[in-house]
Amino acid sequence: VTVLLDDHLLRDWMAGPDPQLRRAVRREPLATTNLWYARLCKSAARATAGALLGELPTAQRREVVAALVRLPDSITVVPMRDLAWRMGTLVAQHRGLSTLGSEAVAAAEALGARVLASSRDDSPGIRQCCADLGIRYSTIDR
Amino acid sequence: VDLGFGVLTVPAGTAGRLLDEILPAEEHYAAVAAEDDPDLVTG
Repeated sequence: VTVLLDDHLLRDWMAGPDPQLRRAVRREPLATTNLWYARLCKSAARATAGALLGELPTAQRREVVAALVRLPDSITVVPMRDLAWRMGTLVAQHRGLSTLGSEAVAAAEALGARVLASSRDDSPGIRQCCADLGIRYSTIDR
Repeated sequence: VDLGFGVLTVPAGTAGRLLDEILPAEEHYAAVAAEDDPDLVTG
């Protein structure tokens, strides 16, 4: 079963997953969503990069950060064009579900995936919608 | 690490550690908590 990671766990995975995250994934295929990935890239683009890259010109610093957050080919992202209509119907039918949340549910449906999120960014909207649709949703302690 | 303008060769795992230093988990949690784009809020 594919594991759909939220942006926090995606960051953790790309930074070098801890044993708890490895156990939760269990060598299953990984995926994330366009909007979770976009949110991660937004944070990375705003990061100051600190002393590590501070000597580099801005353009080269951005290239380095872009390379570091580039998704590995092994992580699936379902194109928005394949999800958009389902996202629309989910938002229409489920109160409290954000656009980001609707993409997560639609992607999990499309992939037959289970959703794995950080406990610190647990989403009642996604959780409830997944429960209604029989999609597995779980969090791990962060 | 393919930088576009060149390729940086680093030992295995170094790219992940660089990412962890450039964007620590706490910094991303803080950015998400302060997210003001309604399409990107958790929900």
